[in-house]
Amino acid sequence: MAGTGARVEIEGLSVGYGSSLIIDGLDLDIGAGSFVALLGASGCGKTTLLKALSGLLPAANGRIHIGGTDVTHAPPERRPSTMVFQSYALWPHMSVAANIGYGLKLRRQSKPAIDARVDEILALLGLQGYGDRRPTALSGGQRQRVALGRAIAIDPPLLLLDEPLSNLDASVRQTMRSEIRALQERLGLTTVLVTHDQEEAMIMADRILVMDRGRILRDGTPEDVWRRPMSAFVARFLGADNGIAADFADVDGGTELTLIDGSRVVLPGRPAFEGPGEVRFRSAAVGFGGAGNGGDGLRLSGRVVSALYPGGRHRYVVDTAVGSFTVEESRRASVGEAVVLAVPADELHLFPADSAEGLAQHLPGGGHLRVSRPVTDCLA
Amino acid sequence: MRAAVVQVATGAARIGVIAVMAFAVFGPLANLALWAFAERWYTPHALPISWSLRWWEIVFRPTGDAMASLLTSVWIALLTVIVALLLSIPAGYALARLKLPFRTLIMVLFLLPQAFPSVSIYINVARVFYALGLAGTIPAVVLVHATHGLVYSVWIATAAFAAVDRDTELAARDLGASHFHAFLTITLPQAAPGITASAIFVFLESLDEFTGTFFVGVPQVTTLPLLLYNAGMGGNYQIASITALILLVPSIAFMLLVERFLGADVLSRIGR
Repeated sequence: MAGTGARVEIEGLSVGYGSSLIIDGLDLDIGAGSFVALLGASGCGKTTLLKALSGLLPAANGRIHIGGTDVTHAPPERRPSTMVFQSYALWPHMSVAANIGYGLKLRRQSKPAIDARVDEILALLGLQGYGDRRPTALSGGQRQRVALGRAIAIDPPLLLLDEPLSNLDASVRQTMRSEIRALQERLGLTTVLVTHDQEEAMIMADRILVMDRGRILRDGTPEDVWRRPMSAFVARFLGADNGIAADFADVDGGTELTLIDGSRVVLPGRPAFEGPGEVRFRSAAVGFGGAGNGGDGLRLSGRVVSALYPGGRHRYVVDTAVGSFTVEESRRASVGEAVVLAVPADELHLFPADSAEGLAQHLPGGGHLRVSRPVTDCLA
Repeated sequence: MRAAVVQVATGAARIGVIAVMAFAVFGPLANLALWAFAERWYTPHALPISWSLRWWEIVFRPTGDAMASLLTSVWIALLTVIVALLLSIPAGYALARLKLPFRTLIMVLFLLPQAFPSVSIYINVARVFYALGLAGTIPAVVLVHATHGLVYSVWIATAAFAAVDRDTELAARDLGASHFHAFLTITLPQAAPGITASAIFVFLESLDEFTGTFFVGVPQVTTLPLLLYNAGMGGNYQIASITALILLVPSIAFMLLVERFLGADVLSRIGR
């Protein structure tokens, strides 16, 4: 059954509600059988793009080809795609089996063929014996499965998932993530997932598109996007919550950062840009540095202002002269304690100021760091 | 001790209020029931002097006026329901789903026939129907009843359609159903309980309607309420009471059904 997925080509697509365009001139090519996640905050245009693919929202301009066929102006019922709605949109007046068999019935399949296929889908989703129940009699995770079963029963060349897991408990969500991924790989369906959950996108998809204001800011494999966000916005969206404003300069083939308090740090490698910019890093990448440890990266002295223990590692907020940062650290520290934050050079993401799409410089690991002023001077 | 007295007093007051309300509701009904079986009954006697089933025989005689007008009433009520549904299903769907200009105005328009004194409206309707040669026919009465019933059926149908999750309809279209097929298989079945309830309201209103029938139907069309009126005016309280009791049966039966059909989700959307 594998390999039923279709290639999707989008050229110069513009979509919107009324006269305001949410997406304007978007190009995208999705390979057959791939699992693409559209990742972004609400209002970034990811759901609009999904609706445009399904035909629920008409395209104002541009072209959409699914499996080589132009479907730009086709209504939803004439498109080969099927969608799993965020609300599941199951039909409460029909049994689970009738819900799943609806698309097959529309395609005028014989009753025994429909029954056989419905049984197959129920077995595939671990819902054996639930065929006669009403969707309202099922748990959230089971409903989610029925919605998925209804969408895949007709072997759609393109499967669209609109925040399919957002209404589920954390534990059920974890299971469903891997189940959907395994199913997609088994059936070879081209799948487009819309989500605002970075972890969900990373785990499920093999290609991630980070969107903002109707544009695609970053397009790559989960690991590539994670390691090289390429813009401050994407970095922030992928968990690099900590940011420091800095001036960048090329000094003897290294990158010199001047922080807002006047302190200077030199990172290895030539800078890709000079002038004002921003350094971003994840809270998990920061650790408390030892006293004598003058190694790689950035070192900042500060004081713990809040300490939380969510399990596993402690989560601290540390105030420094250049801002306050969140830190995940296994070592215990109490509020008010003076600490030194250390971020390895290869965990620092550097962006020019206002770099929604700007080129980012990523530093190779293993370089050495020069601190032109003792970091302890940073302490206010 | 004092608390116990207060408790007894409030208990007694509560029972008193319930008794007054029960009398207001069941007093007239008891009077009807007594009259239906009375042979002779006049003041100062508190209860009928003699009892009889004679009038029931007269009412239920196959050739009697009562059975004929009951049939007419039911027939008119059924036709009224059909006319009202044919209009209110598309109208309710449009009002619930489409972005119509002047939506509120349209909703209020259906309320208008109820807003003016009915006699003045029906006199003019009768005049128009006379000019059209419609007066005194069943279609004339059905039209008048349907106009009257549309406010219920359109408002309830709108609420029923609005209560149907739009995504369920879109999901059907996404799977390949045409707009109309999605409406028939997904939207309408989900709105069906509300629509059924509105049909029941229209049916009961039609069965009960007097003023409009009187102006456009008399003398050719005699419904049960008209028969009741004639019997009452003629001083035959027995026939009037039995007719009234007959009219009660469908009302009570349907009210019980409506309560089952109309969920809170639909009721809360009526008039929005």
